Amino acid sequence: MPSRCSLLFAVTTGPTDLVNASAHSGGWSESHWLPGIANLANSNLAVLAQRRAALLPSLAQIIGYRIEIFTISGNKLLPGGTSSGRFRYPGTWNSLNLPQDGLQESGTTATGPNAARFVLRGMPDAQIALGEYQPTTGFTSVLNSYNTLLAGGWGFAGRVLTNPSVRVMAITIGGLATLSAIPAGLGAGDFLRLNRVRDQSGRPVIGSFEVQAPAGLTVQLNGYTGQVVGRPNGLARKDQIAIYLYSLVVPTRAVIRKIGRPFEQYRGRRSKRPVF
Amino acid sequence: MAVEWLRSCYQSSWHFFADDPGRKTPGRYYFSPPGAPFYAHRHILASRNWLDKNWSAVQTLGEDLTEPQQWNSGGLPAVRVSTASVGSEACLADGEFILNGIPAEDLVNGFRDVCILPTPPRTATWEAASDFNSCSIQLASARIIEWMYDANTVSIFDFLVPFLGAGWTVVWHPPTTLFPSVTTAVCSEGTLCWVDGTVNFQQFALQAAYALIPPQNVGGFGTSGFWFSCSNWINGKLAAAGFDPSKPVFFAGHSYGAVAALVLAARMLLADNTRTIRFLSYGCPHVGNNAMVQLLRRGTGLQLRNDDDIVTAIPPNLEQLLPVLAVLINPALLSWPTWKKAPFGVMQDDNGALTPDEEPLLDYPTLLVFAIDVLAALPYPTVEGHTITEYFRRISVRCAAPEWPLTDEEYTKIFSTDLILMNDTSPMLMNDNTPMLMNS
Repeated sequence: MPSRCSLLFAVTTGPTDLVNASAHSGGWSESHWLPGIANLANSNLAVLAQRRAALLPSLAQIIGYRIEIFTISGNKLLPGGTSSGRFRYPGTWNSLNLPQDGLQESGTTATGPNAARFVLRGMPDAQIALGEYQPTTGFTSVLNSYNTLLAGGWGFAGRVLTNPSVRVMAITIGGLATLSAIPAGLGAGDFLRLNRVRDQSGRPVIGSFEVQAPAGLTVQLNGYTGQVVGRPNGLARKDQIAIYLYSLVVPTRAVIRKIGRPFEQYRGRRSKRPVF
Repeated sequence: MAVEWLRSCYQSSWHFFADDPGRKTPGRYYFSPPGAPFYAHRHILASRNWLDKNWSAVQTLGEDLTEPQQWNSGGLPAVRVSTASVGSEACLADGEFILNGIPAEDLVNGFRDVCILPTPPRTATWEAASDFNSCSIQLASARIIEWMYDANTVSIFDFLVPFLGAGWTVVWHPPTTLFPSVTTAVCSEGTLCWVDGTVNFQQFALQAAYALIPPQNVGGFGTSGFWFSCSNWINGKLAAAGFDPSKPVFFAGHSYGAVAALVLAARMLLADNTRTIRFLSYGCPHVGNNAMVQLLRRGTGLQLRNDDDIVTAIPPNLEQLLPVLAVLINPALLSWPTWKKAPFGVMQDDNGALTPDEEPLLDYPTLLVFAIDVLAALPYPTVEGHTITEYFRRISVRCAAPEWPLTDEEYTKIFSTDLILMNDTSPMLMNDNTPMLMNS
């Protein structure tokens, strides 16, 4: 039963020229997965939060966390309860441009081709110069510390890309699919994902479909959309989710990612708050 | 205890019973008081909003995955609930059994009666009394303003004094020919201020005259000179009531009173933008220029606009005004589009349902008649949707049960009619022979 651990962030801008600008608040969250049933005591979420906060500008802080337990069933997640609470880990860097300034990171895994790309928002603007990520030595050091922690037991949810793919030979209007071979382990109730399959009109056939028991080289797709595939094209793969642990996390480039409304401090649809 | 992080509250249904997982129980989230501790253990009260949209989820115990979510203001329940723990961690983590379920008819505001604490002699906090998101506060403020129109000080004091409790000083300040009546409540935490609206021709005519020119620069922002004078009047009443300028202030007003209160709020925020200013307005017209709107954004508030209250859409914007301008060819009207609406507005329909950031549409014939009347300084017929009574009615549909911070008794009191007694000793400066132009 894996757990998705989320950190909740808040930022309040602090303009000094209040004639031309007023303060804004915003919030966002970042999530990583642990393979077992996690709680605040048995996970190092607090350490992760501390190291993440060390990358934040002083106008931003980590204000809370959520831990959701899931059971993975094929390609579905079954929620199994949540716990949440407050954190207070303020940022330390003195500079903030727009909170939307982000650093994209890439996390690869040793057990498959999956890779996660996630964005660290609220980047101190001194680390982005001339339009690109240009970190100082100090920032690189704390980022490496954060990335090392992520690669020490944290992970992400991904599709099992190592499941064998087979050629889709044809699909009838009723959803009876003929495959070049039955994917290993595919049984009734499993899901089959169609990739790059096109129907007779050239329109893409997209989706993941529950299958009935295979018969020969054919499987019946439940809930099929009715597009007829008349010639062999595209691939089908048993659709499954798994948790992959990061083996290496590295920064890639500076990006922009919007932030949302704050999680606390005010109610309703207010977009601005005074500076306190 | 807090159980979830949410940006806004809503109503939905949850699956709570382990031996009957298909059974749904309605519920809602409400905002916990500041500093409330989180429930530290695993539970099934979480919001489905947090589910990762990249993956499909299967219904288990917890929030129903398909039930439509209905926005909720997040006001606290009207009852005080014991902080004692009831039940087990397993019940919240893995579901309850039907046998232990409590019939809905045994619940009061969602709680068992044994969990409800008796209401102590209260002192309402400024935070509670100024919670403009609470439909009960919206309802109570509308009623107070309605009583102020009637100079019904008996009802005002009968409601406010016990509601606010010890430590508050409530004063009603009578109107003059030009300026509205003001009710103030002051305590060591902050100030509450209610202002009623236009009651005579002089007030209407002056507002109409000032509306024919662009917002006047009053120092830092632009608005009507008449409204600015009225804000001085309100500020004088606040000073007379002994308010502390460094403490939070809550303004509630209707129509002319709303806009004058907002002008004062903007002045206070201009002087010190770290102040906590809240406002709640009913039927507020466009307030001033963009600078004033930006100033008001430094505070927090809610502008209620009934969907047929055209007063809230005047002076009109350029798109609405152009056809009328083409007919009347009066350059005086060109200044109207420079008037902007106040921020944090919501439109309220006939059933009290709210739509954010909307205002009533001014159709061409209505606007034409209105423009002719203003140019000729003629009385304008009553706009039914603009009356404070209509605002009260619509809120009461949305707020069918008492919500924090009002108790059942206080909620009932604002609906009672037997207290509407004119206080004959109150000075009535209104000229009763003056025709009522706008019912506001």
